[in-house]
Amino acid sequence: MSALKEKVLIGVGASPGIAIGRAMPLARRPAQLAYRQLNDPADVAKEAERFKAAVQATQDYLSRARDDLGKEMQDYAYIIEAHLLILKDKLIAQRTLDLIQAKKINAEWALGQAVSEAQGAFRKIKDEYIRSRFADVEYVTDQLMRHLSGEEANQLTTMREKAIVVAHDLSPADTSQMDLGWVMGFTTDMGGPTSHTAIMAQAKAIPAVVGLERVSQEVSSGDFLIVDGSSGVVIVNPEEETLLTYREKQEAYEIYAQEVLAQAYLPGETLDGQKVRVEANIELAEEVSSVLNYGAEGIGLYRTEFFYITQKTIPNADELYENFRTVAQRLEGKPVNIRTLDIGGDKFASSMELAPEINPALGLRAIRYCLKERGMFKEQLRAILLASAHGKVRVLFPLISGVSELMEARSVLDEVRAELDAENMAYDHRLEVGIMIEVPSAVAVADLLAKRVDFFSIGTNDLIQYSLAIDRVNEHVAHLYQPLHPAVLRMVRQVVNAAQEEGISVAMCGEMAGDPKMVPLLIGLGLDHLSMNALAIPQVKLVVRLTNCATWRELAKEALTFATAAEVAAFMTSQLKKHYPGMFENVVWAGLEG
Amino acid sequence: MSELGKVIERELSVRNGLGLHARVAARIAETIKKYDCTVILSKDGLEAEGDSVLSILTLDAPIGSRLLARAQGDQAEEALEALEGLFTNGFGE
Repeated sequence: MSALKEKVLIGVGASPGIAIGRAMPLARRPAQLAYRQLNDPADVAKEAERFKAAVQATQDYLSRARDDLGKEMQDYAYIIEAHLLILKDKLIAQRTLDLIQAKKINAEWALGQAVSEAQGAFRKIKDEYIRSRFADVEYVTDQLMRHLSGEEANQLTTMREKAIVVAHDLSPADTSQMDLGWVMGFTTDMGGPTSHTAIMAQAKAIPAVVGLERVSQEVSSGDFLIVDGSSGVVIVNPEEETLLTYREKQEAYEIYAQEVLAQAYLPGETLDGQKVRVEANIELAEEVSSVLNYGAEGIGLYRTEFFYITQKTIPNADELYENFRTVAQRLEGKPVNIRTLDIGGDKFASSMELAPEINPALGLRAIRYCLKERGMFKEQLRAILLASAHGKVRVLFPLISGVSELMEARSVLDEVRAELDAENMAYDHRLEVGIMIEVPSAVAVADLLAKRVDFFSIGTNDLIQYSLAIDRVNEHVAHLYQPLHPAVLRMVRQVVNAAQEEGISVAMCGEMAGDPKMVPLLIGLGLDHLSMNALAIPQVKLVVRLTNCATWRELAKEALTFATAAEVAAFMTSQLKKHYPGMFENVVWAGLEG
Repeated sequence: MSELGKVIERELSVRNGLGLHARVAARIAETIKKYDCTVILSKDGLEAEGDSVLSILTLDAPIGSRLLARAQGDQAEEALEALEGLFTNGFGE
């Protein structure tokens, strides 16, 4: 019935749920700017004044937004501060005024010119992070253009009917100024699962899809949208049939949300009483309250790279401690595994003048980099130890390839302990030490490692890449990335056996752990902790609670007898259908789609 | 420009671990703005206006980089002095 053609856009599901309604695209500056030559000198002067007024109005808007920033968003105030700095930067403001006067042209055109000059200079920057910050310049430019167009208020502050917000990017300034009561959903071109938009949407239970790349260009005012924040799909002007399907999905989700989310608070435990702790992976302290709402029984993996990538200053022990303590306290006794830095120095610092590595995955990164940069490593360990006085904190070393590396890391930890003892500082003297099992050599010596740590955490993403020699990002071999490859399953089994032999716990974090269809097999293989993206927790917990551990122990043994990933997949598909009727129709296994 | 007085120069080396990133660039620009003079920073043929954060960022200067600061104006000497202080203590990082 709709005259408009249905369009499907794929992004990243950032906050689950389904929203159906009218689009409200936030105006961006038009791709084609108006050009006006000003002949009268008086007009030139007026144009300059008009631009100055727009700068002032934008400054007022941003300052107000910063002051209005809610308590939960205070961590993002620095973004608005940066926007204020850019606004006043001479490459933008002064350059625009100069162009208006020198070329006798209108403010919009002059601003567009100034910004594209700045962009030209930015493109040459080698540091990827700094280069990407041009997005902030774009944001400020959009705000300036909006004020130039005479549009007083931000559309978001004047919403009077429910709608789905469509934006290129949202700043904390925008979201702090909007009345969320009118917002049915969010869709943005930019952003990832931990962007401030995602965290804010999750906290307010508003469906959101981010990272859509082109949604702000594909959607116009008045378009009708379906936003599926669970799967990351946005449908523009859906056909009648699609709409009906999604109305059903929406209803089902609401029932699911009520029932499953209510159940998410129940403990992770199989039908026959086997405990399987279902935990969350996080990157930011701000995520803690949201992941607890999804039923996380702890934080299986706290990735700490965020500090190093975004702050651009090497954080010291005090800063890290402040953050780790907050996480530990917000968890109220639930455990958190804090992983020490898991990237290479090239990612954030130039402190060692590293030459670009030909093969960074096999290079100086993670624990290797930390053991080389002792000072930085000790700051991390000091912060973790100090935080352990405030909750159940455990330390997790990434990329351990063998016993000597582990012992070296442990000796640095002992050094830091001795320093704290000398200073009479409080910490948990029984702090548990764990390692990521993600290098094939660690699997081979898992029995030796198990004698020297308190827990294992299997990182499947890297383990699969390293053991199958597959770079997932390389499209020519991506199809060979098979979590069900018999080699992968046997390695998991070997690690579990080694852990059980020594009586230590064994977790899995990585995409595999958060995939509901993998969960019964993982339980059968003997994993006792699963850590994942928080959005997957309710579904995974549901599967855990419907699983009979004894049955799957037997089925896992059988799964290990097959020769190929395809055979394992066929076996799994039939067993899932048999044991969980209606839950796993149409399952697709990675690497086996064809 | 020449009536503004002579141009004085100073070589600066980047000592903080992360090079000239946004926060550091902001401190440089704020410092320079306090003095009555213009400062041009240059590195490997690239030039940046010392009072613009965006311009400084485009210098792409990691640790170990050497910059040349050229100042001109009444307070050129004082500005370079302050600038050198910032660079020497690694921006307090």
